[in-house]
Amino acid sequence: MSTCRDCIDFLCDYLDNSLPESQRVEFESHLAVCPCCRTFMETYRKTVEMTGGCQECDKKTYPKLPEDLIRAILSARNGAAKPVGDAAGPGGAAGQPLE
Amino acid sequence: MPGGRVVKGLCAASAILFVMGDAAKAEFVPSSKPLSVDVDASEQPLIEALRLGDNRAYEKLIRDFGPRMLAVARRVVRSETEAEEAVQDAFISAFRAIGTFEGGAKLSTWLHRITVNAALMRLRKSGRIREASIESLLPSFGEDGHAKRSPSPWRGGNGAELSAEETRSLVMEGIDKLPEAYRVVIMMRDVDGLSTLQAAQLLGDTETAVKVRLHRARLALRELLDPHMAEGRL
Repeated sequence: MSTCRDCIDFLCDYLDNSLPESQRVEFESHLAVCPCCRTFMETYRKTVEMTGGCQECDKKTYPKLPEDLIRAILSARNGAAKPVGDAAGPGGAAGQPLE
Repeated sequence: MPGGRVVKGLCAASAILFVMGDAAKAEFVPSSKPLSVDVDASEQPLIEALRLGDNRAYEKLIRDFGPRMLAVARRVVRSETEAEEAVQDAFISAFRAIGTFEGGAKLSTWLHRITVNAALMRLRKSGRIREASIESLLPSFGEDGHAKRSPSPWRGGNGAELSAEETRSLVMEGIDKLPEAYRVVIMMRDVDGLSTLQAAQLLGDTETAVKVRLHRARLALRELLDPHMAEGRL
């Protein structure tokens, strides 16, 4: 792993701690002498951190489910409460009334 | 049919398929086998009531979990209408399978997985998932394998300088510019926090393929964020 290209190819595995020991040693040897790859790795890591923070941010503002959508879903369920032949697919509540 | 919304029958659930990869033709069946082992005992009364067909329990399920499911669907499909349709598909699918839900996972985890499947199916129907080129956003190297240009360090960004909302907007704007196949993977792995295995199962792809696509998506997103984050640029 002597080039920046090799280093960047293994970046994801390195940060996941899934790089085999011998490759990890090579990776870190390259980082030790290549400031470009060190900076690149930090910005890559930051990208992953920033992306991971988006769900937390979303949790504060979950969208309100439109009332007509709630009614439509309930209607769909009630409409199919009696056994429906085609709905009895594998893994579903085949032939079992939902009410 | 309030507001003219299409009310689907449970038959619609059987149309939910895995998308992408070799498993694209397989029928999606909400599995009772958990992808993770997080179990919430406090959900048991609700699960029991659902199994007994209690109408109020079904409404509670929709009201409690629907908003999060809509947020998940919005991250996969970009149209509000398609996101709502995906949530409807997901609930219908879940209703079919609740009788076989073993409670080996949290309801939220199970519903999350079903929602991602339903939203992916919507994407597939729209024909938007394809392997568009991402090459122009990837790092370039000289013949000797070394980087053609030196990257600039980034400023603090995620803390002192940008608010969480500003960071989110910047990231989402970048993700929205990625080709669908890459956008979906980075959403599932890095935003929604699914494991590579879970994403691979949902996409009907191999873990290796998902890892490769995720890495390329991260590299491209890094490139798109760079002008905003590099020190001295703002």
